[in-house]
Amino acid sequence: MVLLVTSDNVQFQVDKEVVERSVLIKNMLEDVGESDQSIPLANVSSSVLKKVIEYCEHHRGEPLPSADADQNQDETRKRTTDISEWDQKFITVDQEMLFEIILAANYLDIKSLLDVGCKTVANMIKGKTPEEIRRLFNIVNDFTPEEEAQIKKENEWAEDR
Amino acid sequence: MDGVKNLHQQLVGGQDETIHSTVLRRGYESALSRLPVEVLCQIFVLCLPAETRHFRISSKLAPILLTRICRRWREVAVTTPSLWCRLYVNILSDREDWRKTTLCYGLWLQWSRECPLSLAIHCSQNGAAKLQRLLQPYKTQITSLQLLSEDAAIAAELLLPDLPALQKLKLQWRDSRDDEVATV
Repeated sequence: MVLLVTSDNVQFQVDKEVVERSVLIKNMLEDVGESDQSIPLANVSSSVLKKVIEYCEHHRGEPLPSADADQNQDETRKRTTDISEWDQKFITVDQEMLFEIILAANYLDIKSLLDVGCKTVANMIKGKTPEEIRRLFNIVNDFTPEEEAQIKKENEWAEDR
Repeated sequence: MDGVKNLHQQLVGGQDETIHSTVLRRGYESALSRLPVEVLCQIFVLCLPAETRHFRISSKLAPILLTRICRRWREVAVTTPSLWCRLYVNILSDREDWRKTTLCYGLWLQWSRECPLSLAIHCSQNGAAKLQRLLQPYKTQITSLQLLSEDAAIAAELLLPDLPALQKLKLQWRDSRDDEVATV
């Protein structure tokens, strides 16, 4: 078992096999060797780590994606945003949690979880207008009038396509 | 006096709600804005149409759509060459406003920077010269070319002499007699 300590100082005892889905933690454990020392995760809160562990538990034993898997994949396959049923249910969380999970997956280097998060956000973007996207993610339109005019000019021909 | 107290309590309550909702708003904003550039790039690549190898220019679709949201998204999108390295170029109609067309294709190709380009081109006989001018600055980047033309020989002749990086070439032309597409 491995002891993880979150940013809000909550401790989690997790199976080594489960926690090693995180490349960051796997490398840490390899560097340190057998030890009872806890691993502090300063960038991850307990509520987020709970979700991350749930994901890793569910995918326990599955082969880890190799570093060059992306290069070997067909271009169009790489862009597929299909998500398995369980993953879809798992990632149905509020927006704040979704982005926190993505940040944690990136920090902990859990590629498959990062993929699920990014695909979810991409699916939220697809098919929406700029205004709908801004509203959905609370993004402020910070273009100056000059920039707006430039973008309009760029898009004149592409508008109806 | 009670009325004043009630009003005060209502105002304090309202203020708390406003602060709470502002904090929530900031939270949403910060979570998204805290995503590192490489993660935002990964999301943007996944926004590209999955069903096609070459992307048509459309302001409603990624990658162009992503340049229209806010400054940060635009900055990330236009500095991510992999979003711009596959393009479907359609030069068929003489009625098109060529200046606007060139601006669109030109920017797209410019944003591909040094990235190897894969192009699918649908070109009429009249369009070959325009195509030549449009692609001239990017010829050393073109590694894959799919050419569909009414007369592929003419278009290929114009393009081929000087594509040093070309690795894949597919020529298709439409036989006007039976409207069949021949492929080489």
